[in-house]
Amino acid sequence: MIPLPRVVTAGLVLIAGFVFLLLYGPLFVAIFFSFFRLERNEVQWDSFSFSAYEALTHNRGILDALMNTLVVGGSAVALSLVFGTLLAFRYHARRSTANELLQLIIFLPFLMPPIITGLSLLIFFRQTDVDRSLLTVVIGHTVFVLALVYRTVLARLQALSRSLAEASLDLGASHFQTFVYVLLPNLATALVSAAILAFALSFDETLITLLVTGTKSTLPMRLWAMMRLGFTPDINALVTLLLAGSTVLSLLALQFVRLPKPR
Amino acid sequence: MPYRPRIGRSSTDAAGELASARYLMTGLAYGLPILFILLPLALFLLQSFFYVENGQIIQTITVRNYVRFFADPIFVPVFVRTCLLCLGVAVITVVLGYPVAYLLASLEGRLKYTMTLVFVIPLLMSYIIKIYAIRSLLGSNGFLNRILTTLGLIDQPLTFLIFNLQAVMLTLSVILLPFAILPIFVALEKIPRNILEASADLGASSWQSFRDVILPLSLQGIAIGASFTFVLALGDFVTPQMVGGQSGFTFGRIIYSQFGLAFNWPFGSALSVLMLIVVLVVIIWTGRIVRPRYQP
Amino acid sequence: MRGPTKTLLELKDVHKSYGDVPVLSQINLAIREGEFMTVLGPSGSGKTTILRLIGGFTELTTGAILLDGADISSMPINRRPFNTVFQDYALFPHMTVAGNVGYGLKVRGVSKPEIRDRVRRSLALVQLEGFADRYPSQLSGGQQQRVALARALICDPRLILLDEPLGALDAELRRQMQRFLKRLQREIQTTFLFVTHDQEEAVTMADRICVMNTGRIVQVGSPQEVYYRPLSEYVARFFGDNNLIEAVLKARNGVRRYLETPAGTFVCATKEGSPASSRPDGLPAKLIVRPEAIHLNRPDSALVNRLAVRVEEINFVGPTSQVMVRALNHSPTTLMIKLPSRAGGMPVTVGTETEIGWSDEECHIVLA
Repeated sequence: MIPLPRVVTAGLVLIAGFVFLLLYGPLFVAIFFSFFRLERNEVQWDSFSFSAYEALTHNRGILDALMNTLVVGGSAVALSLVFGTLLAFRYHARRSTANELLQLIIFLPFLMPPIITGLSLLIFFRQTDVDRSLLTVVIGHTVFVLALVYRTVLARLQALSRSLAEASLDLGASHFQTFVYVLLPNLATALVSAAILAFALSFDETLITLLVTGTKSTLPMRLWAMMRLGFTPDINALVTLLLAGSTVLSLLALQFVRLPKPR
Repeated sequence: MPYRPRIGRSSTDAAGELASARYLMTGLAYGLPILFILLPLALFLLQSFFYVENGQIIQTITVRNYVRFFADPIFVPVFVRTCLLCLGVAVITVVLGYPVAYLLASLEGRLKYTMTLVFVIPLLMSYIIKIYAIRSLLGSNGFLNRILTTLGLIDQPLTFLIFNLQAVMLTLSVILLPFAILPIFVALEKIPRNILEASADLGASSWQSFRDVILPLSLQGIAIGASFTFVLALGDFVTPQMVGGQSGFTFGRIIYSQFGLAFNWPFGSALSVLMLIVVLVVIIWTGRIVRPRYQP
Repeated sequence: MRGPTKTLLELKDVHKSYGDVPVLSQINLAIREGEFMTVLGPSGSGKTTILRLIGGFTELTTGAILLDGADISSMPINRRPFNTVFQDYALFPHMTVAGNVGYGLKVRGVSKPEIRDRVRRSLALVQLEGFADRYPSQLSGGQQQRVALARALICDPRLILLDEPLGALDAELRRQMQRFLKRLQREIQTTFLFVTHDQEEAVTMADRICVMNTGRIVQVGSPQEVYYRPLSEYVARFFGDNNLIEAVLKARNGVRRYLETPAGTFVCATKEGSPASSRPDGLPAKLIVRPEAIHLNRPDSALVNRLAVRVEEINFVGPTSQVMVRALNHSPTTLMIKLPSRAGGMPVTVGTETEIGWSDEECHIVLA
């Protein structure tokens, strides 16, 4: 950008630093308290230990919730990958009002407040007599991350030269062969990064899940319940692990976005 | 070279296979979004026109829910207050987010990549944990008060930071900050470097270049960031519940309670529809700004 | 001149419109087996559309495309025995050169050893031996272009469609590739359909040129035919510099036709049965004579068409020089003459008054 006077740059850095504290402060607190104990509102500085992490492995409730979260995440990602790709191809193949409308519908859950998406699904499940369960959660998450996968795949598809598919057909390949040999390899990185991002979003999804969840549930639900009752020390350990996991995950996702096309 | 015949399937059976596969794919493709997005929304809208009597949902069309919203003196003020609060959130996030985005845009190479990551990753961090952590930070026994007391800046712990609307606004701002930083950053990045060079070449000072060139061109990013945070704040019902206490009652909480204890789904749906209208207005209005006349 | 005669592909009464917008009208074209045909026209003339119709990438609105007499208009792209070299090459970025070239064989189930063998031969044909394991992004534009060519050739198509493939190359490389393509086509005797907007390129490479203008074919013929005997003013102006003189048809004398122009009366040899020879007197026409066909300064007495002129301008353009002259008899006629340049100087200078002449065989009549 334009060269700025020192004062202004210093000011910007100061504000950025402040924002950094705002964003990471709460998280550092959680990490901190996963290693140190708090007794009667006094920090025990000599209590550094991994005992909280150890306790975590014994907490069945948490571990079950974690497992559910992974299952939901995996399912939502799988479903949104398949449908997102199908829909992106549909849109790319032909311009039509139907496709434009369809695209709008796909984007809705992402654009609207999650509470609306959640409520509409809640009502839908009630009308169709579907019990709330992990399945309804999966549906809620899929609908939410679909837009992300769709957008990512479509962008990549549009960036690929149209003549690649034409060239493949021209050389005698069937549509299926064209998809497998030519299109899919070039979409691979986009699919992977979309999958990782979608998984991360699903992992942390709270608002929609709250509305469509049954009795078995995901980690955010468990945390939400614990909020009222009070946290046990192993929660901070879990939080720290989750933070580490999310960081790694997002770094991974961005690697795939950064990576140049095969050679 | 002599012409060689093709090896492969005959055209007829390949064509048949292709046709049925196509229909299947079309059906599937349309199925998911329509079934799980459009239909629920339609039902949701429909629900807002039903009403509740003796704990039962009566499925007859009526507008009494909407009438109640306007007639009953509780709801409109809360709605207005919530909108103002979310507007406040939008303003705070943009005001704090713009300098950060600007700083990021002015960096180069590795540093830019890393720092952008630093400010965007919090988006993926646990939502509940953030709220909880902020709550514990702001509470009377919280970290902030402890530090301020230890530093001797205050005698009594500050109580106005928690369990009220201000707390909701602060918490939401912290959570939604990255949503403002990102669009502004993207908009700044899009500004072609040679325009800035031209501005300098024509003699503009840094401030003038900023005011007359950068700011207008980054307006899109500001609009997107503001509307995004506004919409997300508006629909949030968890944060107010966790840090709002008794006085921090937002519209989202009212809606949520209709689906919980109050058990008035039709009314809740009507309130949500009203909220949705505001959201749509914001989105459309943003769309107008985001596509200014001078851009192709 | 002995040339290809058997018709391979025919476009019959083909029309193509996008909605209400017509892009091709009344297209009738017969492509002969083994020939190098160029479709030539400015952008928007519909030349690429013809190529895309033949390749199957677009559907025609009305008409038929006949291969060996059978209508293939509804045949999908991957069933047509043609292969295309795309304008942007369309090489698969995630496959090596060998992968790209062998693709057409792979999707047909040809065995791996045979693919390897044929790929090697194909690469040798385009002089890219040793490049098999490289990726397209590692190649120069010219090399990528040859890979695209090898990829299209390997499947033994009956017709190769080339969509302005030399457009992205610099001038020297273009000329090399033009010569290369011409030689290659002669050697393998596959029919080539080459689309371009560059008239010089068309003239250099083609056995026959199909000239297009706003969706219609205006002339099909050998390079000499379109150059020396254009059927319309458009074609006359399309190739190289040309002189067009406003004229009115006058009397006939066998195959010779007299024309009256503001600069005087001239005579031109015509072809038996052509409009120029058969249409009645009094019709407006244009007399066309190529700049290099005009003799300057004491032209031979055998040249029947003569005109007194003053030299207005002399431009040195390297191997040739352009001399602009104006008729002395108060008519607005100006002509361009092209002479081989001389290091020692031209035989005339600006302001010289002299005589020019040209033979009746070296000019041509085009009806207005």
